[in-house]
Amino acid sequence: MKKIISLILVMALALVVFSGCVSKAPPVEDTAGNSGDTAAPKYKMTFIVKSMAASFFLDVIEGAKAAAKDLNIELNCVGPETPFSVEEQIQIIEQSITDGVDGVIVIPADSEAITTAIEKCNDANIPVVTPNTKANGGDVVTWIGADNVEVGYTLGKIMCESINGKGNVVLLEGTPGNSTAEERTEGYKKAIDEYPDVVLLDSQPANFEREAGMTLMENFLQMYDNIDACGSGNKDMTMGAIEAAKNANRLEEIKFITFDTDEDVIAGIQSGEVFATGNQDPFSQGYLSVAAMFAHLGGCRLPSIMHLPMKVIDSTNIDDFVASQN
Amino acid sequence: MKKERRFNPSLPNSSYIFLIVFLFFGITVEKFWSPGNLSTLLLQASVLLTIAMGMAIVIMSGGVDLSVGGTISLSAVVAGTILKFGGHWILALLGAFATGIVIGFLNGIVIQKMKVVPFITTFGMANIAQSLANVISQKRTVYWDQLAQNEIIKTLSGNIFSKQLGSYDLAVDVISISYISLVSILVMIAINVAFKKTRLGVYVYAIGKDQESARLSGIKTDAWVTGVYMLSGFLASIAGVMLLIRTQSVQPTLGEGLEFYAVVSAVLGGNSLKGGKGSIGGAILGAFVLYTIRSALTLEGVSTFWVLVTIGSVLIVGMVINNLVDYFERKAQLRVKLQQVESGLAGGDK
Repeated sequence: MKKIISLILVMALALVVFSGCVSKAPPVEDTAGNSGDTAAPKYKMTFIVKSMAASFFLDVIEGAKAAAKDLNIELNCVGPETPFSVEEQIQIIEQSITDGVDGVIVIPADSEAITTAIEKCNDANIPVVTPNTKANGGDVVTWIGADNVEVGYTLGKIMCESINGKGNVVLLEGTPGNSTAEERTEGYKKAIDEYPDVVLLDSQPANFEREAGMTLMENFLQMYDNIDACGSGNKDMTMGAIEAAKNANRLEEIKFITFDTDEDVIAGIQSGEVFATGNQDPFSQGYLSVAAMFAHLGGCRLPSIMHLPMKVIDSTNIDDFVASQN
Repeated sequence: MKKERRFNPSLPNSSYIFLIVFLFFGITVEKFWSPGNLSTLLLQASVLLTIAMGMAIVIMSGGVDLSVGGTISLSAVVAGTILKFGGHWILALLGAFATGIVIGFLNGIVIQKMKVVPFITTFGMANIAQSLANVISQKRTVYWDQLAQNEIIKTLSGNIFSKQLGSYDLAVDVISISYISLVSILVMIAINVAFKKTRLGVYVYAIGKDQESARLSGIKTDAWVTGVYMLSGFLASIAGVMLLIRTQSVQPTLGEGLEFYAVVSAVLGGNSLKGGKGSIGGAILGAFVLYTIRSALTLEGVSTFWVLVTIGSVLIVGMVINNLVDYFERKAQLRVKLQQVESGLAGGDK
């Protein structure tokens, strides 16, 4: 008898676990518009980011949700369980096709691999918008983001100027195989080439991740006795690298140039640990890509590339930037 | 004595969990039965199904194979690199399979001949394989030019009938399945037949229960255990090729973490980590449980974090259910035995 009761209890527990998840998680209705005064959502879209564990993409999602609310769109924001897994992104896109969404917005974790999924959307006549990172194939309505070669170039110049055009530098590259990482690195290298006295000691990928950035920087610090500046494809890698430099007591000698702004970076610039960063406005990327999809579904024609401006932020204008964010 | 040889239970324990999960989501998630969802589910589960079967056999033989993820990465990188240098697709496939089998062979040799525990051996091998994959690919995604001779790699990423019929058609999509699913179904049949109809099954259970007595009763344990790891490596390389076909490129870390899901599927399927007990069918159902949850929660728009919470909870609750099922089975057996003893006593009393 006791066993039967415990069996029932287990079943009940299982049900609670399942139903708890389904109801507690942010429901889709969250973004379905202001209740009451609007009709049922006209369009249904899926917004897929590279990782739900990186603050940058959470900011993008915030923008996307704001647009969904303003435009009365049913928006489902998801990311792979394993951060930066393009295979899982493909799975989510397949699921969305099955689900019969009106549009798919995806930030590809790999520019090449995502094309098979985009082609599937093309076959099913579902339009695709790719903010932030480009896809190498398939028909995409539009791409919205910062000009990443330009981003790398601008940051690279700032890096070289920060050490007065003379010294040793290292680069932390983003995840290999996606356009944002490769284009930013290309830009950095282009800028370094313009300064004959700046030596690029090493450039390796750290996958846009904090932990990988820390490990890579630890290796660099072991290998090279003199590092004057460290450029990075995003801020997570830099924050990891700063930890590594702190542990090695070499924080003072290295100027960190990074990209993206969140509380970490702002605090870093205020304390002087980070020399400069660029802001590519994730909120706008999210908002505009949903709006662009909306416009496309409404019959508008869009340019295939939409560049958003980048703003450089350093100790001189950090206070203005913080003020403008609030 | 008959009861001891319980190597062919009629229903794997995980079938109960699968039924619960499937019914629950079938009722609550409205899009679950929508056209294409089930074939999409099969497609997405293909990779996990393939490695979960290998994992189940290894676990039944009393070991564990943590090198599956690394093997997937390395074999896919090998195949991708061969394609990149213009090699024929058959060569690429053979390269991938050879990689998987060699890794399995090394695992087996180290475990059997050098007496290193499987957990450590395969964990080390996972790192070796993953690092080699990183070295060969220089940590960059491997692409290749679309050569006419390798067109099949592109074709295989589609569905069986939709390519022939040309344009996309939902009805066609529903009845047809993808080539990748077909491969996984064929592998499933082959492995199950091999396990049930040849000595493989019996020997694996015997070795898993007690390797020394298995050896003393004339089983060539070294060869069989090595063979089991080679099989697991081979299945992992098939999974690597599936992922290569699916993404039409190779990310050097594409296998990372998959060994965890394979172990979870096998364990959910009632394969005891102590060895000597379990079934392949259970692991297959276990893999389906994971993907049913994922697919249903994604359709429902549940955030990623909750998906992981759910998978973790299902694993724990599933294990509890597995133990309960075991408990009831044992109790039923005991009751039968008790009755036999009682009737025996009654008989002896007269």
